[in-house]
Amino acid sequence: MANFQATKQETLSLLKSAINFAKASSHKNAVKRLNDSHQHLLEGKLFVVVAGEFKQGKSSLINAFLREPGLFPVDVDIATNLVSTITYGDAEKVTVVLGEPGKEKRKEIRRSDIPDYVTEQGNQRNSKQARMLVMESPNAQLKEGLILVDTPGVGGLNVQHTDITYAYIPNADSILFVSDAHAPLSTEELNFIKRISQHCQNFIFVVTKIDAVSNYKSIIDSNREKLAQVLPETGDKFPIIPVSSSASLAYLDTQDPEDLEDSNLSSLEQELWQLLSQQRGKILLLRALTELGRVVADIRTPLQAEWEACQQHDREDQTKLESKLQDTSERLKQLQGNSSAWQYQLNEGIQDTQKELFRELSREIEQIKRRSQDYMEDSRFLEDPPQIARLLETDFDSMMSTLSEKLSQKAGNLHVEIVNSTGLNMNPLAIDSLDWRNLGEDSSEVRELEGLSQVKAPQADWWTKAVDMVYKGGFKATAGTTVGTLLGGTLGGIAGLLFGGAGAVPGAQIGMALGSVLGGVKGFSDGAKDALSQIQERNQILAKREISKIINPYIIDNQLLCKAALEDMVTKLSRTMRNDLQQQIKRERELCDRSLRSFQKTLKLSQEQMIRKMAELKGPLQQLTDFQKAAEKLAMQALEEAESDTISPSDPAASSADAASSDSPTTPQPVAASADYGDWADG
Amino acid sequence: MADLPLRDRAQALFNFILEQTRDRASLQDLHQELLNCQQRLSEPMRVAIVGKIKAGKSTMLNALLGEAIVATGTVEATFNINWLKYGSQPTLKVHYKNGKSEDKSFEELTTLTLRADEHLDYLLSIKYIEVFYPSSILKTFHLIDTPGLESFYEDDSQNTRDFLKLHGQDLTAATQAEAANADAVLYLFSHNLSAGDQAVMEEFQGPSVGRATPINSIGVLTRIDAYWPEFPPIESGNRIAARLSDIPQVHNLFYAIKPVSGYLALGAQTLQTDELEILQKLAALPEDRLQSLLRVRNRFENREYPDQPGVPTIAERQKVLHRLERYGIWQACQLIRSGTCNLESLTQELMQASGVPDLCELITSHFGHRAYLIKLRTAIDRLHALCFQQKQKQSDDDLQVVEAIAGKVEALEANSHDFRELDILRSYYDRKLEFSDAEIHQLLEVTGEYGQSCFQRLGMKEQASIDQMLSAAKERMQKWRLRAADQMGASRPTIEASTVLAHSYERIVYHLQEAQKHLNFWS
Repeated sequence: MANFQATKQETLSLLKSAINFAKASSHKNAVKRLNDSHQHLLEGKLFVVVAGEFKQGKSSLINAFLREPGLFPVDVDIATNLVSTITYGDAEKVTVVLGEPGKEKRKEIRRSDIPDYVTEQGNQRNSKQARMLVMESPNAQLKEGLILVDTPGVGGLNVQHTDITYAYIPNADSILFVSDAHAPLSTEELNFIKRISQHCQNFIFVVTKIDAVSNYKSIIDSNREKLAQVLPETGDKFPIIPVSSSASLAYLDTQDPEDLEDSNLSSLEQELWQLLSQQRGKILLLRALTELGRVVADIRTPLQAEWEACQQHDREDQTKLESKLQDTSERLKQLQGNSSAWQYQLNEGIQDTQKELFRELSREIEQIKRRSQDYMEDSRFLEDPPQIARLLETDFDSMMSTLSEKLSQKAGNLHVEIVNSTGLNMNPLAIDSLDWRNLGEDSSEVRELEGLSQVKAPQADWWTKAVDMVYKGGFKATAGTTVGTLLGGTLGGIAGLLFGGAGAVPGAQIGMALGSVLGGVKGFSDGAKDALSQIQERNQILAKREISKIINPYIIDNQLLCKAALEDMVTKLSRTMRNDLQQQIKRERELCDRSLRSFQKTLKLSQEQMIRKMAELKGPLQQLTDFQKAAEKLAMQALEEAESDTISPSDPAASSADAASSDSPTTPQPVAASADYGDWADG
Repeated sequence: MADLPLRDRAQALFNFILEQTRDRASLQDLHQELLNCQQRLSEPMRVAIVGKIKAGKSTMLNALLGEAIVATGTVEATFNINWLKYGSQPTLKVHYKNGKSEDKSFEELTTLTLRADEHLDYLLSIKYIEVFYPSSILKTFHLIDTPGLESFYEDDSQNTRDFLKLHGQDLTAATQAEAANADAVLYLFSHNLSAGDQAVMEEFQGPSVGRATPINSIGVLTRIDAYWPEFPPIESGNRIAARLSDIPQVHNLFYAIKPVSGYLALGAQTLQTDELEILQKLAALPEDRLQSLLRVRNRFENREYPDQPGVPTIAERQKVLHRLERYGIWQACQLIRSGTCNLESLTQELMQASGVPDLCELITSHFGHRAYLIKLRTAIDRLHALCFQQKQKQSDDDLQVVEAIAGKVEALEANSHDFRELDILRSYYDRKLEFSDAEIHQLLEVTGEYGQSCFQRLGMKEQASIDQMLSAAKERMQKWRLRAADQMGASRPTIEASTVLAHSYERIVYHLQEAQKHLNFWS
């Protein structure tokens, strides 16, 4: 159920208690990390993209959702012609982003000026070069961290703003696809849905304007039938919600319960929150809980070591435990060395990834070339040649989005393998966090730290599930970051959600690089469009020849640009991964050494001192264990909310990439590992 | 050469070519076709109503006629081509694809079209249906109701979709053929249902519109009543039309775009007395109550309000809803509240609100004033095509005759100042001319936009004397000659157009001088 808000509040208060505990026991570093975590969760953003054709009532719907009539301009004629975002802020602030990609300028405007930029009337054919509208508002509906993205209509051939719209789609935690009750979904709309479903499947289909027709149920049935054909993997699970924005807005004035009921907006809100808690909302929670678990483990492990030292009276056991800790420390030290096996593994993996991506790139380019031929055969485009460049631009954009998503998948996989083979501890909420020192009797469980063999890690069900879910999503680094940087990195931040603040780095990095490519593609496209608009030739064959003269070099330029960008992405990513892993090893070694020192120190204590020590430790250890238990409970809660419904269908892009780990109920740790990506750099 | 009126010269041309082909056995087909062309010149102008399925074609047609004559509402209803002509008695003549035809009653046709799936084979065998009806507009124009252009996704039921999938291409082909065959086209589209400008554009481009030019086409933005209650329909419609008209692809095709609500116009003209009473009951409700009732269609149509005795019954509400739709009801109640009390004046006021009277006026002035020229244009295009076909078939003497005919046709076209005027009108609609607003006004005036007589072409009052007109015509002729001499500053089309216009005034001067001679002779 729509319990995201509740679980979030509980998690926030648990974090607060943990912060107080850390303050009281003067763990400065822990206080900082927990504070960060608290902050992240509080500000964690959930992206809701509102998409659909022109004139379907997208802006009205947002106004109704926010209970602010007239916030987004609504017009009988085409109104919205640019992407607008709105998120919570203490005071209303409206900023318009103007200018060429890469050279954007921000300009603060008043609310009353919005139509001057957003509407076709106020800003014909976007002569003002507006790129997007960014709004902050103290609107209660946005308080839980929603970012609403209002997109211009995406028509079959209208590609004016599709680049930005498409950029948002892969990052969407939910897509509200809006169509009205006047007509069932059209071929163009279905094509669009099919296209974006490759990037994101968190759809809620909203049928608006039900106030205008009597029998919207037949439209819904027809839509369901058509959607089932376009989204075969989802079956008929997708929600279709009929609403009346105008009844909802009227309710603000009339307070007439009949208006409220006829609007059906509450069903939409319920559905939306449910989807959000299943998706990113869950990740936001898990990320905070994971970090909490880690911090607690960091404090607890040395204390636990002291406790164990007091408990172990047998000399032999004491020595055994001590030497385990020493061994571990020694192995971690070896891992830190440059000639360590994982370093080779990383290098090779990166090289393979690069090769594979380049192969993919050539394949995709071939397809784009073929498509460009098709466009040139189409008489509609010969009438308006710049359309060809626009379409190809979108093709290149979506190719780069796909490739970068693959890259993050692969990077995730590689990281999993490395962590797996090095045996770094992954599960922060395992109550007995000393077990990585493997105190058990069964020697078969001793890890081959530097080998490549599969090893069993302690299982924690929720953890496996949680990370599995995140892992399937990859880093989600996409073109969204292009505009994300304009939003002060919010989009970049979302890229690595579970991976913690610094874990977002790979995601953001891919996104950044991608942003510059897309900017470049846009530049080339503008040039090509200019050149194409000069073509006056009416004879089809001659016109085709003229167009090829422009389009062919355009494709080659883009190919080079994309290749260079991809290379750059891979290089930067491998560097980041190396650093992250080194950090992680370093921290784990420090923790191990700290625990060892505490253990050794405690062993030297006298019997009475030990008893006193145990008395001292008992309270804090209990407290820390409670924190861990509470965190685990909340994590289960967050996950179970999702369990009740089907978890998001497998991402087609991910399904091939994670084939190795997709049967991972039996081998959970590869998945677990990826989640840790970069987390250590947080401290 | 003597500047005979176009009508006379065209007549001469037809006499000549009919004479040439009459006794030649191998040219009998051509002869027959020529007779058809000649016949068409004397008939009312053919105006085709074209648009996607569900754009509201049949509703529009009925609104123009003032009665629900052709079936509306079901997709199957749009299956046939209805050709509406004036007749003193309402009769039907069904023409079949096999060339036969038979008379039918109106009732028979309704029965057939309402259960289309049962009578599919029969309906498919129909080529078109001639409808004779005593409606005055049909004296001036023949109206042709076409099946829709293919677009089966806009329809809801699976049945309809299957039905159209099966025959959609036939329908499109038939519609296109009809549009090409008509003298003028009303192109209907509803902004509400179309997917933004691009889709509208797509509809306009391509072969669907046939030979649409601003001279023979008017765009009609239908279903504007659906904008209500969010937006005022007429103002909003005008605004959309204005913006669309600014787009080159649109103004290259249409003389103008008019926003209308065919449904309201038809409802207004067919409103019944008992329905007026229901409307009066609704008008007696507090304004905000009526507003609330109309806010959600389903509410108005199907919800009981037993504790509110002032609210008409469901059956009553359904009746007026079916007649006028929500906007019409609201508008009617507003009118009733402000004092409109009888059926006749309510009908009139609602008609005004529908935008249809404006459209009628535009059709008459724009098509009507140039009807002969537009029809002749159609005829000459047809003659060109016929000659071209015959040239491939014929040999020896016959070929020579055909070539002679083709030569005459070309000569008529080339030497007719009227066609030149049509050409510059075209250039103007294509926005190739660099004229000021005042100049454009003169251009339209002199080419007969506001009427064909001298005073209308000069933009003067009917009472103007010949001397007054003559001096005005001379002054303008001089002005346009100077404009045409501006070889440095103006573009080629502008100079050419100026030359043509100077000649147009020259012709008026000539006519006026001739008239003066007559007057002087008699006085």
